[in-house]
Formats: sequence, structure tokens, C-alpha cells
Amino acid sequence: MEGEGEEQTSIWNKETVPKVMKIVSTRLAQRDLISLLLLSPWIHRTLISYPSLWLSIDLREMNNAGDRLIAALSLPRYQHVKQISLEFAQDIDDDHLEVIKSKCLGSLQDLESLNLNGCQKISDKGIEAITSCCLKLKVFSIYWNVRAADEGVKHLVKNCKYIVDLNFSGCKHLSDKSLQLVADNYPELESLNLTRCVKMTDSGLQQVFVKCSFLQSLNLYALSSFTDEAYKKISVLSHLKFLDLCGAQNLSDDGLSCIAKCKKLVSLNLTCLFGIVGVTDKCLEALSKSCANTMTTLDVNGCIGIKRRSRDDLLKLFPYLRCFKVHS
Amino acid sequence: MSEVDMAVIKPEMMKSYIWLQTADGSIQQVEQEVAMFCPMICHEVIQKGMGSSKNYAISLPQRVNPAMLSLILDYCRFHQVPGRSNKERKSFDEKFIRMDTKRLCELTSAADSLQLKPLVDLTSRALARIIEGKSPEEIREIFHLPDDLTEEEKLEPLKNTTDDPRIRLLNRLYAKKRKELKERQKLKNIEVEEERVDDRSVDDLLSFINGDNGDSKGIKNSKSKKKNRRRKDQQKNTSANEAIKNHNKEPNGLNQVCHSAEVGQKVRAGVGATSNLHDVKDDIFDNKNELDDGDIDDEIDPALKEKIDREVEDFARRLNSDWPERMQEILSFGHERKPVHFSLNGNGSLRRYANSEQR
Repeated sequence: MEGEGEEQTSIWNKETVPKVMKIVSTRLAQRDLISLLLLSPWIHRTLISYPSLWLSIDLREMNNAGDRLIAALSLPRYQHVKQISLEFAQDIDDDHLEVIKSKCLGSLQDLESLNLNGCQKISDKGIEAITSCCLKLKVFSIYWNVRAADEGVKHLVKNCKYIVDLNFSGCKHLSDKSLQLVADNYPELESLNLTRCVKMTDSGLQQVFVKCSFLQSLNLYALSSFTDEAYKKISVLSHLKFLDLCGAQNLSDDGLSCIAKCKKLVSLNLTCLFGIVGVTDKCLEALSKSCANTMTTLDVNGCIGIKRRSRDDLLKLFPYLRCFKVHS
Repeated sequence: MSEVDMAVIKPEMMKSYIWLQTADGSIQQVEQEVAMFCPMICHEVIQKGMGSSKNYAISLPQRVNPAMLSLILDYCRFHQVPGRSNKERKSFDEKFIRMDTKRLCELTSAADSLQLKPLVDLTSRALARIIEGKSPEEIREIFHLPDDLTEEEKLEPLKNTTDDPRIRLLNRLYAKKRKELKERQKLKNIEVEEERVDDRSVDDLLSFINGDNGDSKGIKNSKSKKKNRRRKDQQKNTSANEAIKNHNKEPNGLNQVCHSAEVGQKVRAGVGATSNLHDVKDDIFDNKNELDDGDIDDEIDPALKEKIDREVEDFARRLNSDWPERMQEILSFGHERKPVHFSLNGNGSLRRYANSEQR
């Protein structure tokens, strides 16, 4: 009797639960998966044997992130990792990335997405190191990194040829040179975030518009130095869906009516702290003519030139609008 | 008469039943449309012509015991009716999965073996919700998983490809503990796989070495490990024999503290090998004077080094106290067993799991 009970328990531990955990594992976040690994050797063994579970390394907001990343990348199960997030992680700097370059090269071959948002200790040197390891990178995000400069972007474009999503938000030292590099190297670029990259000017932006014709998402938040010169050229981006022009002080009807030519626009943000005075009802009508069917988000809270901007007014022009305020 | 009974009954003549047999040998008949809702049963009937009579009952997988079968058939009975609205089905499902977790687990397993995907989805979603955000300790409790064996498994040496001195130390400590366990558990038959344990131990090790947030034992441990990085004799050979040869002492205290950062470690009391603790102390201090070239110690600033020295001394002193008292100390630091690790888990998971509102 006791033997049978023991056997039952044994089956429970060694077969039933591991199998069930495997079934459930596809629905769990990385951090919960790690908890499962620590439950029992059989669960551990079962889960490790499914590589599809181990394609993501999530070190967001963790301390000692540099060491942890190195440790993780030396584990066999992360050899094919596709996504690494170090968003707001602490204690990671260029040295860690250099170590990874020299010791963990193999693990990054399949990396497609790298999030270094908020990792402020990383400089161009670190960018060079890490990008040289992940040649297949598609998504690169380095929000709020004030050390990153054009040099870093140079390494990025040299190493990673398949980038489709770039986030340089807050990297205030990037200049038109970076834009030139992006334009020259990423014709398939789909998403670009240049929030607060204040050194950039019309000419750099124009380069991007001309050469990255597949852009779907463009974020020019808090960039007040651009003018219609650049804004008018947005019209060539026929695939553009999301456009954030919050802070675009110099935008006028001219510019916006050109933007209206982007027929697939779904979301347009025109808020501005100081008011975008040059935009009036006229261009809203132009916008409506082309984008009435697609526009679901439109924020004109900064456009004091637009008189008819109540919810109802806007709904008349854009019947599918759901969201009227982008940044709260 | 009996032969007539056993003959295949033509479906058109009367309401059809499928015969099912569970692993315990019991056989039952189930309405055809209900049973056929399960792909596995459907397959058996159509492809193999089974299930038409008692003698040809379909043998269900072992994971499907009568209780689970009953539940599954309830599910099938409801859902196979075509006319029901989505709302009705959803409502039924919500009520249906209200059962204790162990049953939910068994049900997932059983449904999976019958390839009944909708039910597997339903139950696994519920289980995922249960598991989300919980510590391994909590999960073990919920699923009635023991942690006895995990302790021993966790003691396998790590591959030290980077020649990390912390890993060297850990392997030494593991070897000591292994010997102790071997003596106690000579009858158990544990399977061991190196790569697997590598992973887990490094996870634990690395996060544990962070020594964050008020986990004094954790910090002590990591510091003492840093201290021991100076040891020159490397645990490169990870075989148990070598380990036993080198370290024939059992630092229970050391290991316990080591494992205090492991999840849900039930501290093993009552192994009062106090005589060995002295040797452990020697172990720790023996190599104080050895220097390792290119050691990570270089990174530590002098103030921190001093702190480490002090902590190691304190630690050794404590080790040398009576074992039961030692156990008390460890046990009283309840929070330290709320893990500080899962290297890839929470940010200082002590915050995460000991204080969930901080999430």
C-alpha cells in the first residue's frame, strides 16, 4: 500500500506535473518560467528540452544586469535567444558588453531584438561590441542614452544590416550624420523614433524620408527645429501609419496638407506645449479627405489655429476616431 | 445469447455508445456523440474500428482515470451540442474549472492525452493564472511537489568554463554536501544530468551572489564566497571522487547557509556534525594569503574588502557554535529563504516576493 502511494507520488512528480508545466509554460512570462525551473529536477529537465521557451532574456530593471546577462548567455538554453531586454537595468556597462563579445559570441547569433533603454553607462564602445555579435538584429532601442553618438550609429549600421525598428529617443547627441547613416543603410526601415534628438535638422530628416520609403511609424516628439521643408517631404511615406509631431512648432497648413497625402495614417499627434499656430481647419479637411477611413487617433490639442476641434467636430471629419489625446 | 450481446451493434438501429476502458480496468459506455468529441477516441473509432462493444473497448491513456474521464465527458457532453451560444459556453467553462489546483493539473494532463485541445487551453490558462507571479516555494506547495530531491540535484558541480572562482567555491561546497547526502540517502536512486543542473545552479548562484536587500545570510555567503575566490586549488575536476578526496569534511552550516538562498529550502536539522565545523573555518581562512592573478578581487574596493573580511570572520564564528543553535538562527531568518535569486526573475526578488505590493 505504501509502495503504491509512493509510486503514485513518483508519477505525479516525475511525469504528470512536468508535462502539465510544459503545457502551461507557453502562456507564462520569462520570470515565471524561471520559477518553474527551480521547482524540481524533472520539471527543469522537461522545460529545458524545449528551446522555444528560451528565446527571451528579460533583465528589465534588475541590478547587476551585466553579470546576469553574461551568466545567462553562457547557459546552453539561451544559445538561440532572440530577444534581450535590459530596459532600465542597472550595473551594465561597456565592459560587460566587451566580455560578451569575447566569450558569448555564439549565443547572440539569432538575436533579433535588443533593448538597451535607459542603460546610461553604455557608450559607443559598448554599442560596437554588442552589435558586432548580433548581425541579425532587427530591433534596436537605446532610449535615453546621452553617451551614444554618431560613432555608435556607424558601428550599428556596419554590423547590423537588417534593422527595421530603431529607437533613438533621448539620444541627444545624435546628429544628421546618424540620419544619413540610417538612410543609406536601412531602406526597409519601418519604425523610427527620434524623440528629443535636438541636433537633427531638416536636411538629415529629408534624407531619411527619401530613402526609407517603407516607414510606418515616425516619432518626432519634442523636436521644434524642423520646418515645413522637412514636413512636406513626409508625403512620400506612403506606408506611414503613426506620426507623432508633438512639439512641431513650425508646422503649418502647407506642411500638414502634404502629410495628408499619407493615406494610411491611423494616428496623428499634433499636441504642442506652445501651440502649433500654423495649423488650421483647412488642413484638417485635407487630412480628412485622404485619411478619414483609417484615422483612429488624432490629437490636436496644441493647435490653437484649429477652431472646430470639439470631439463632435473631429468625428464628423474622421468617423473612426477613438483616441483624442495621445500624451497625458 | 452472450455472443449476440457481443456482436457489433448497427448504429442506425439504436442510440450508439462507445466503450471506453480506463487504466484501472473498469469499462464504461458513453454516448457516441459525447465520446467522439475527443479526437483521440474519434481516431480509435474511425481508424481502428474500436469501441463498438465491451470486448473492443478503447483503452484510454493511463493519465485518464475514471474521475478525470467523468469530468472530461461532462465537458464534452456540454460542448458537443451545436446550438449553444458563446456566452453559454464561456459561462459553463468558468464554472467548470472551479476545482482545486491538483485536480486542474490532472485534468490538463488527461485532456492532453485525449488531444482535447479546447479543454487543455481552458485548464492551462487557469493554471497559468495561478502560477503567475508566485515564488517557487509557493508553487511547490500548490502542486504538492517535494523539494527533498531537488536539494541533492542542485549539488552537482557546475561547468566552470570561465574558471570563475565563485563557481569553484560552489563546486567545493557542493561536493561536501553530496558526501553528506550520500551517506544519508544510500537507498535513493537519483538521476543526474550535468547540463541541467548547471543551468539551475548558475541561475541561483548568480542571483544569490548579488546579495541584495537585507538578506544578511545571503550577503554573508556571497562575501565569504568572494573571500574564497582567493583559493588557488581549483575545482576544475568536477568528479565526485576528487571532491571527496579533497574535502572530507562536512560543513553543514556552510551548506545550509548556501542553500538558504535556494528556493524553499527546508533546512535540514539534526545533523549535528559540529566537529566538522572547525575544519570549515580553517578552509575559509586557509587561503586568505593566497592571491589569484587576474582575480575578480581586484574590482573590490578596500572598504568593501574590509567589510567582507569582517563578515567572513563573523560567519566562521557562527559556524563554530552549536549546531542546533545554528539551525535556530537560520530558521529564524525566515525571509532569507524567500529567495533572493531567480537571477532572471524579479529585480531583487526579495522585494518582489517578500513584498509583493512593491511590484
